[in-house]
Amino acid sequence: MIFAKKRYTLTIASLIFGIIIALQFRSVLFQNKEKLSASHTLDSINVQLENEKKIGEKLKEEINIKSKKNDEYLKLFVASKNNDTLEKQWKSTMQKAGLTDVKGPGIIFTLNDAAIKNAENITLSIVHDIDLLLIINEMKKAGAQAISINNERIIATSEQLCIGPTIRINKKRILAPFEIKAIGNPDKLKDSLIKSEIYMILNTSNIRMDIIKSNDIIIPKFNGNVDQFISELEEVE
Amino acid sequence: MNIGKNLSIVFVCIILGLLVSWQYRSIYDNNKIQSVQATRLEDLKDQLIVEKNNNDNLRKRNEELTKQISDYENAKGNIDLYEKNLKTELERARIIAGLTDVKGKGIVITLSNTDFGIVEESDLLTLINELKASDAQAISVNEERVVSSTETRVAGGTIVLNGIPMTSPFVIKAISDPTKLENSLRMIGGVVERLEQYKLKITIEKKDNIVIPKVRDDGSVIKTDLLTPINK
Repeated sequence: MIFAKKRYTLTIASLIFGIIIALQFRSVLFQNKEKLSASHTLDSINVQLENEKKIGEKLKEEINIKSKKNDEYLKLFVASKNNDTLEKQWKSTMQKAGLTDVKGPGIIFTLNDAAIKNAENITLSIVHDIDLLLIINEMKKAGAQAISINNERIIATSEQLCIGPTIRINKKRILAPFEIKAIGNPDKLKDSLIKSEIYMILNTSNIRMDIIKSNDIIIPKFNGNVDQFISELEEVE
Repeated sequence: MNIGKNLSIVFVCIILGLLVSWQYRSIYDNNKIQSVQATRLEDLKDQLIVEKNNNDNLRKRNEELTKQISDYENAKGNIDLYEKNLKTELERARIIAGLTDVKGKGIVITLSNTDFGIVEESDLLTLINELKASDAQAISVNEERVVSSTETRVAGGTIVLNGIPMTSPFVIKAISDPTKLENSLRMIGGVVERLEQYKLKITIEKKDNIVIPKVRDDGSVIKTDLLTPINK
């Protein structure tokens, strides 16, 4: 009696054992198939993305060359007009729009994630979009006349948006370290920054920061397709 | 004898238990990996769409420039052509600089203090930044045009923008696709949620015809006296 019962239990146990092993094998095989198809899609999108980026770079180069040629023609025309006012107006408007390379006195402010990350709260050790926003605001308060982050010129429509480990500026993704150049009064810029709340907060979190004053800061023009930033606007006469 | 058989049953049951827990664990882990992969995939797809749109815009600009240059070369000395193109370039620059009044579809946001919360400079900053990130093409706060040099600064009980002190309520206008703008602001974990957590009052109204004034061109907002052009 007792013996039969034990054999019964053993049989059932082995049955279940067998079924589970079979299930395990099946799910492992299934997983591998899924992983393969998922990584195929990932790969194909990656390839497409790389492709589009290459196309974009080539187009930008062409546009750069053609813009220069266009500018030369316009300059010749403006010069031939012998009209100083027109030339001044053109240069001044382009400058106010951030569409010209400029140089002048100012500072270079470098920010980087903390060298040793905070084990309890890693977000404290990373530079975020709000940090860049506040720093740039401090520079504007101190009279910065032109600003760029990693050579992206800040214009009226420039955003700073965290996307994962990158920050998106002028629709381009930028990684730390961040080099912010600002043209203005170097002493005023540096002093205002060091005394600002955001600087102290970042300092406490061990965010690496460095400010260099200079008399010869070069800030590039906004380098992108301007039209996409004004396509919905209608001028009011 | 019996001990042997008991032991074997115990042995089998232990292995069974291990297998069952292993099965559960691997299903759980798989789900986690799949969801991480799915997010990565979504993110890459988004990037792809952005790149494709950018490239379309670049192609348009490229064609426009090619045509302009060939026009110049075909009609040397035709002053009207140059004049027309110069005017277009100038207008484009003026719009980007914020030097023109503009109108279009968009939204009007009213951000105000309440008994429990006061608007801070970072609140305005993040709101304006979110609008820019959602492709707002022109923005004004209490009729002051937001341009590249626009600062927000707390001074006493006011917030100073473009050098003009302002108090609550802050009326922020933005021109772009109204639905897209409102959705970005209202998403979970987004700006509206955060501002409401700070006990501020925020209302959003979609409008078909918003007029945003140009920036004051009196030298108080856009300053260029320290800028020297680089001639290549």
